[in-house]
Amino acid sequence: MSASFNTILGIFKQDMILRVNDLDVVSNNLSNVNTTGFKSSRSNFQEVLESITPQGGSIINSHQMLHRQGSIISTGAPYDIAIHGEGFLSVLLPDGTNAYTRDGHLQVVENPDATLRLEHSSGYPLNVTWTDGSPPPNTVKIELGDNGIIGHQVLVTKIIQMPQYDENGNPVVDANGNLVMVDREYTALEFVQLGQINLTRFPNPSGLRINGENLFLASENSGEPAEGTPGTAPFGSIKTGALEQSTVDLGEEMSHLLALQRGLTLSARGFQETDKMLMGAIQMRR
Amino acid sequence: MIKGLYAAASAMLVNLDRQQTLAHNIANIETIGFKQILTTLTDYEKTSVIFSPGNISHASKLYRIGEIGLGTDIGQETTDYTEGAIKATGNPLDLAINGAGFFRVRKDNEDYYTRDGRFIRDAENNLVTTDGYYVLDTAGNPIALPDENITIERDGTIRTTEQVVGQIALDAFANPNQDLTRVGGNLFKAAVEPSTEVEKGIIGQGYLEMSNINVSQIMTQMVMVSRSYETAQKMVVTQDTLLSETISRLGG
Repeated sequence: MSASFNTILGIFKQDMILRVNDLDVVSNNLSNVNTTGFKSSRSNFQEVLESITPQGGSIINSHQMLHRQGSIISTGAPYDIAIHGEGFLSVLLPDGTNAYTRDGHLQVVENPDATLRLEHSSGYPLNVTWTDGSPPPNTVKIELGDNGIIGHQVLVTKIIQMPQYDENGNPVVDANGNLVMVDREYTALEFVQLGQINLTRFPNPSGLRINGENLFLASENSGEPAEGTPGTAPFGSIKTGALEQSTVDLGEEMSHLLALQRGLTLSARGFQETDKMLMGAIQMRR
Repeated sequence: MIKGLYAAASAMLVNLDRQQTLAHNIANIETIGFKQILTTLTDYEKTSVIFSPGNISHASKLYRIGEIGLGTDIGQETTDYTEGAIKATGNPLDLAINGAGFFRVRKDNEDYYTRDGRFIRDAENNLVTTDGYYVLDTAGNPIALPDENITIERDGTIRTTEQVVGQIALDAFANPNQDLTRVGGNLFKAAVEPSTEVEKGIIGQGYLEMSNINVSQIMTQMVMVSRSYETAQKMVVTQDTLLSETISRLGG
């Protein structure tokens, strides 16, 4: 076992770099305090022991995204959806692969071929299962129901049996004393399903890669994506007219920031002290 | 006089060692489940001091007047296994142990012990550490979680709403300073089987155990080490000056 100034200064240096790295994570969390569907991350510090230098300080072994449920606030906007529970919306990237998101800020956009699609706020189309296999024409007005049902209101003519009235307003009765019924037509709005927004879940959502624009990509750590209908276990449910808020807790981040600053000061102070010791050793021989 | 020079130099070396341990502790101030390293100092070899009257005719009258230490040496490193503060995270797979126990984890058929309860699901739904070590149940097997939310009770029993999935193992050691070796990555390796008599403690879901480093204590130690180093260094310089005086006065 032998300590050297280089090792000690190295440990402190490494430590200061890690604190700054951790600061990046905190800043990213703080700047996304209002980002819909954002999940806060943390740095996982770990002890390092090496055979050459018995004590090697610490490293950040991973940045872990914490998949906590964000609070759901009502926006009233018709194409805002919020996922309560597990699962991600999936969007189609231009290269044909899927990306996943918890941000349910959608809009209806017209395709060049006069059909409609649902578009995610990132600008990529949302993956949707259409009931008849193709997107609806631009003549319909898409509405979103709960649990990811896409539909529209259709004016339908229905027939109902009503009692027949005579000119005095009295019901007409037949010989047996029963009411005489006649068919009457009426029109009503009916919600007809056009498609379904499905949810995708992963065994380890912390293992998803961050792509930016609120999108995540599958990775070998996240496991295989599994698709399912919202509202059926283990998938979460989808609420319309609401958005999931960021999970960043300001108080938690600020207190972490204080601890981080204290750690950085401590390392810097240690670096200085070690430097002073080294300086003294050098100046022993004048 | 030369003896004194080396004794003073040994104090410098020892304090450098202690500084490195302090650096390691400071670097792990944010490491979950970290147990601080304590250093001890011991006497280096001692040697007898012989008094000579300084007269050759009385050479037979040399006598021993006692012993002088040849400096100091770094002693056995120990680990301070006291519990760190518990912090609430609200993350369902963050576990903290309140008590003396350790989680048992496995990689490549080797079992390790850790107090770091930051667990995740791996791609196959197993409960693993952030390094991918399997967390073991009481039967010593990896734990495969179901596709739904789980609750973990104080005794480590993992439950879904309908069924019991398994029980996380907690192992404790009668004398952790002798039974466990630090291997890095927040892990310890055990030389003996865990004790069945020691109280293992309880598991808290949604909590993490912080490192047990005391900042003010570390700061005080660092001041002590650097002052002690400075003193030893002054001693070397003094010995050097004396030696040079002796040579120039007597030799000239």
